[in-house]
Amino acid sequence: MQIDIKYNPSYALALVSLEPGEEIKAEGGAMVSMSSNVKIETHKAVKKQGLLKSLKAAVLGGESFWMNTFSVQAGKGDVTLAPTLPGDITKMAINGTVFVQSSSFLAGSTNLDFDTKFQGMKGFLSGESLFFLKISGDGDLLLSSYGGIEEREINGSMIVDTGHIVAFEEGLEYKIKKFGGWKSFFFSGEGLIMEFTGKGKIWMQSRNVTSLGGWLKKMLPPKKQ
Amino acid sequence: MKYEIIGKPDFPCVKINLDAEESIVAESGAMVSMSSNIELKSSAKGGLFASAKRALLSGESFFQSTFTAKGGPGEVYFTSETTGDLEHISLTGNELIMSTGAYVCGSPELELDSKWGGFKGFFGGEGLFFLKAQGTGDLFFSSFGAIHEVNVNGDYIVDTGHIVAFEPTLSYSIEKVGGLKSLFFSGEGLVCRFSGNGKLYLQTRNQNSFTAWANQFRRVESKN
Repeated sequence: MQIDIKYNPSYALALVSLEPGEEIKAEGGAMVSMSSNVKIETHKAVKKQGLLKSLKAAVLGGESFWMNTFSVQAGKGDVTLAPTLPGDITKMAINGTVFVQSSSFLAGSTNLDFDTKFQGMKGFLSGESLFFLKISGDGDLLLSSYGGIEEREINGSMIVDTGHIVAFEEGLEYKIKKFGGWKSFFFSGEGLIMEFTGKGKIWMQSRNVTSLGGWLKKMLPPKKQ
Repeated sequence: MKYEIIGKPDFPCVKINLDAEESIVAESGAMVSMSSNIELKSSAKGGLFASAKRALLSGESFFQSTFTAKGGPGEVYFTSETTGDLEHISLTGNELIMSTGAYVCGSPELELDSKWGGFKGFFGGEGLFFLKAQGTGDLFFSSFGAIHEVNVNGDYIVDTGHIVAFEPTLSYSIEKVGGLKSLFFSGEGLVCRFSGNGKLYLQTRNQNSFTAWANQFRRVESKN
């Protein structure tokens, strides 16, 4: 499987070339275009497990309940994939476990295992959803970021606003905290942060999805009900 | 007429240099700035009926603005509404079929007409009609995100929200992807199957997905 990323960093598009027998699974709605010999199969986010686990993934993970697996039986086939928001796509080969902010998952190898990780009730205070997809195994992963993406190697400790986290490696210790004192929490506009300690990689995005949502809420006319 | 597209590919706009008495037609609202000797005329191009059809069916503005340099040369800048790329093509008697909203500006010799696009709109709320440009002249169109060119030879499948424009040598049909389960749960809805031999311009972001995503943040207010 060959994956190329074009039009980065602002409006990245992933071009996936599949050989006979190869497949890739993607977030529902990510498909831009494909060759006519590519087969699309729609399935629950957590394929092997039962309905309950998929429901958990959909409700808690914020990820579309359904995903699509693209495959070719005969001949080569191409699929192009893109996220909803402007920004970059990063391809990474994983061998182990990474936690991915639910809205940052774009696509991955079909042999990767998916589970969800619930980060506690703190997020509800600020309206931020702190749910991560726990993705394990050996394969390729495509992550999308709102804005650019920055990889940081942590050795010691580092603080990141929760709305800017794309992913982090298992092994890093983390705590979810409010920023500063209570007054800062309510008035600084910073909300929740994650404090990482230990050794491992994190990926951050240069724009904040939660802030964009808050801005839209302010700007858009209300729905009448 | 000379042109230069500046600020590509994220936030482009096109600068057009007109000779004396030369004109260019644009979507209303597309003008950024212009020389003071440029005269602007808004008209229902092609007549009231053609304009109403274009406005109602293809989502274009009812009035097209014609910019003419008077008494000497002049320059005018145009841009699009969304962030993303802007492209130029020269038509030489041939046609280009565009998605609703992709048209930015073009030579006054070009004819614009709306074109039935199939049933997609009934399901997805996406543009049911395309806009056809025909004639000889310069045409500028824009995209939401980057423009990805595909030379189709055979069959090729595209989410309708990602179509910017295509050559009329391509025929197309609207269909669902995968099985019935995919229709309801894949998030892909219906797609456009292109066949034949011709150029297809795709955009790497989808206005329909983006606006649906933004819509979830709207406050809810009770009617009373």
